[in-house]
Amino acid sequence: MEELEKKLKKARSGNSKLGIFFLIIAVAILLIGILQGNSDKDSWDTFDGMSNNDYYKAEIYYLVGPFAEYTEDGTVVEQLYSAYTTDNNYILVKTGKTTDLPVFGEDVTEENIDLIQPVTAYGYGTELESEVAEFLVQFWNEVYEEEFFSMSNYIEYFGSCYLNTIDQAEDKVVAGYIFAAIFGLLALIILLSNRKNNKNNADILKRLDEEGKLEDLKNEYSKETVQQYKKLNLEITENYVISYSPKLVIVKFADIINVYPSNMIDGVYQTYRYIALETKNNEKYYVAPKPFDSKNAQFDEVLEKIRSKVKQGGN
Amino acid sequence: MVIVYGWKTNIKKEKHLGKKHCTNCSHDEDMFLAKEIFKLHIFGIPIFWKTKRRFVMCSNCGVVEELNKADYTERLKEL
Ligand SMILES: [Zn+2]
Repeated sequence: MEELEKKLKKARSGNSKLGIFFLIIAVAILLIGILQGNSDKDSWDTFDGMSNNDYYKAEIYYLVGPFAEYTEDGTVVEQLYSAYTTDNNYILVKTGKTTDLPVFGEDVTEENIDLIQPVTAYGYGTELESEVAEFLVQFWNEVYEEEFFSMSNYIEYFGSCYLNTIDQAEDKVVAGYIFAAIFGLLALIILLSNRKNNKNNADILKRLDEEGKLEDLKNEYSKETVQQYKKLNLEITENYVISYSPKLVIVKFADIINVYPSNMIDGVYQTYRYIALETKNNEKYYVAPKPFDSKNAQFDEVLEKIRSKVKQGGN
Repeated sequence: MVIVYGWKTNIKKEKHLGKKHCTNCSHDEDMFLAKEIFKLHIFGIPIFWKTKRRFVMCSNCGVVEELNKADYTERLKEL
């Protein structure tokens, strides 16, 4: 037979472990989020126009276009441009409704083109759909006024992917913060309730000690005669009832003056059924919870057992 | 879209029977005729409910005596 204190400690540390586990997850998510998001974007690889499913940067002189616009209810929400880069190449770039990048014909003209400084763009490499590529081909053929580009050669000049500057991993960071906050909150709730439980348990043991019952209980607890009711989270020793649910209760049978099944806890109706124990000190405890409808032979057995023990104690 | 749904069990006290001695908990307590109602709700709007049981309820220990629908209705009508 296990020792009582060991068992109490075990029940507690189980809870703490879960709390600490959640706390570690929260911190890990937070760290990953910070590392990914703020990992300075400058360490991202340079976009080559052919890569997708990762974050890239690009040194851009100016945008040309747009060659395609995405609309929602008639208003433009996203635009696709060709972008002239410091590699003297064109890549494809997706922007929002407006963009901070210089646009040829607006911010950049024939006059100031030699003075223009490159700007770094950041985004997510994404495959260009072929329906959209048709607009690209059409756009540039109009600029050149001849059928130079086609669906079979545009990739050589512009690549097969575009840099989506709307996605700069910020959403992921925000999602990371939210997840971290959820796990952090769970950890906090568990650890706080655990602390409250620990205090409740410590108070109970302290009081038993003060009343001179603790040694007595420990002795009884180490004997083989302790009856376990696992489904009800309850144990019965020669002179005590020990219940671990809904919270720790240890009561000596000799102190109990009334025992009855109850659907109420302190005046509030429950869908669980409990055994209520009233003591001569005018205290009321609720032990052995079972769902109201479920048949649980142990419940009736324990109820009878406590009743008979209380009778014995009273005699 | 998040669909907010859930269920809960409510107690509806329908008639005060006065203070009486409870045979279950041996207290002298207020007794009621009460119904336990199971409610399923989506977005806070109950879409299904069912009376699970009818009983004489002691305000200290809860259910004392379960009644069938006929007996319950009869006792509800009594003065
Ligand atoms: Zn009662």
